[in-house]
Amino acid sequence: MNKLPCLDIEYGDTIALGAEARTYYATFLGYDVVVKHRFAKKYRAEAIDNLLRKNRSIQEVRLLHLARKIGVRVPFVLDIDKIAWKIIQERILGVPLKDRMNNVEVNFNKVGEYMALLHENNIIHGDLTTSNILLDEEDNIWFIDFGLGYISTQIEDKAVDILVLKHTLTSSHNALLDIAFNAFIKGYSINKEHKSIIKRMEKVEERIRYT
Amino acid sequence: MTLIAIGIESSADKLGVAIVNSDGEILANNVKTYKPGIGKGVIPRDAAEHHADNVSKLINLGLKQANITSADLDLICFTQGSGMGPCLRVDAVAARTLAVKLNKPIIGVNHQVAHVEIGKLIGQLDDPIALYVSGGNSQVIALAEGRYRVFGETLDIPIGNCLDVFGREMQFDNSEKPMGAVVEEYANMAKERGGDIFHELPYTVKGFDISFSGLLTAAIKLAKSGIPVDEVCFSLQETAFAMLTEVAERALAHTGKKELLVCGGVAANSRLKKMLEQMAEIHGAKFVGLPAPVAIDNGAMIAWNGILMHQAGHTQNIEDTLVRQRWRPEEVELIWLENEINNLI
Repeated sequence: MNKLPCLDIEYGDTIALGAEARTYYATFLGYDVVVKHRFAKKYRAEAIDNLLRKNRSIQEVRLLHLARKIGVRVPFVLDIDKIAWKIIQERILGVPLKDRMNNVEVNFNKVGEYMALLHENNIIHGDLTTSNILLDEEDNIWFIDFGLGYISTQIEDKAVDILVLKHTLTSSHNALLDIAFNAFIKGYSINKEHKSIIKRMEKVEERIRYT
Repeated sequence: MTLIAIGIESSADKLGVAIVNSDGEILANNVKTYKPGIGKGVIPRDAAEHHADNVSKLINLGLKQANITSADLDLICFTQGSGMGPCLRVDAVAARTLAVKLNKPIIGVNHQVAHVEIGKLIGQLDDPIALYVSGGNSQVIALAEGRYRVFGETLDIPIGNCLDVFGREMQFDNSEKPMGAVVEEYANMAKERGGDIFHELPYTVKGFDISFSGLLTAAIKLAKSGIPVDEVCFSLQETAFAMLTEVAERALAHTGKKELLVCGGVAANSRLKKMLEQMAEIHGAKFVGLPAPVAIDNGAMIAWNGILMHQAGHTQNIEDTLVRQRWRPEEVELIWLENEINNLI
């Protein structure tokens, strides 16, 4: 990792303007890559903005590396620009799960299995929405956007991580909620702690509903 | 034919009564707030007593301002939920009494949904992401798959409650204005004297959800450690509002919607509105911050949503008007939006 801006990036089209960052297609040292640029947000205090962009960029690279090491499909990081806060990562040829809600049972079962693996290694994704899970042409599941992620052994943190996914299913894919979430739970049950985590999730859910 | 509706709202610390017609004109809209006294929180039973003492006065005032008599009312609308039980029962009893006495249809309205609908009317919006921020709620609400769905919300305390408790701990005087406004004044004071020094506080965003309890505890601790209280107010506001703006931004990016609405009591805060406005600009979205009388809990939103429901064919028996303290917005069937929903699908 260097302290200098990354060199040799040829920018292509913008993929998306997300809440966190702008993502571009680009080529970097001959590779097809995606550049994720956490650009400065003028709406918040500069101190908060700098801190968030720095912490999230570094955390994301760290977690992508750890996830990859335990066998979860995540983009490979080629470089990080620690001035503009850009991450140069492998380009995944896939579509967000939110746009491919067929074969739900199989796909969410797999998502559950990988999440079990991440949680067993104390990796909290932090933003598990159907925009942040990709499906490639061979129906492999990829996880992206670990910017809100962190390391934790706490049951509560893992429970909330799953609750975020459930919320997204409830709000964006309500007709498929039961089938998708049940398939997720089934896949997730390979995690030794799955019972207490799901139980805690239900408790947190109650707490939110009844405050 | 133009219909005239009365809307009665008393789900929390405010009692609101309004007269609205089916052209969307607000003929009267009055709010009276229960004050628990410095350093105290809202006691539901006392608030309900305050509402019960004032509800007929506000109804008569509204009729007078609208220049009508009770016989001119076509619809009686009230907040059925969600909210504090004892408080909700006041608007329900008042509405039942009027409906039976005048022999007019009664309509129970969902509080959160009404906040969004009045925002759409006043802000001329079609399909917004609504950030609803008050003493009792912090939610991101938007239309998805046929219902108003809660995309994100606080995992513990609402933002208004966070500001309230902080202000109470600091013994701020909120007898003249809401605590949020007092905290904002202190933050502005810090800015003016060059004390807008940012102290790092817990910033918690989880997906579309947020948490304020860690922030509250840390802010109180910071103030007790000797940091000037206006600097703490500044840091607290900047952190809390950046979190709210970020989850609204996440919902905009996730849904691809192009309108943003902020409502609820905390929507009166100008710093929050400025942040949301700048954020919306990045995404090419139209931003609407409502004027206070229709942003806070009010009767106009209840009357307006009642009109929409009535015109879409909703009818309700008096037996079905029990209050629903935990009535979630996604449980409401949006019969008045059927065309919009079909167009979306």
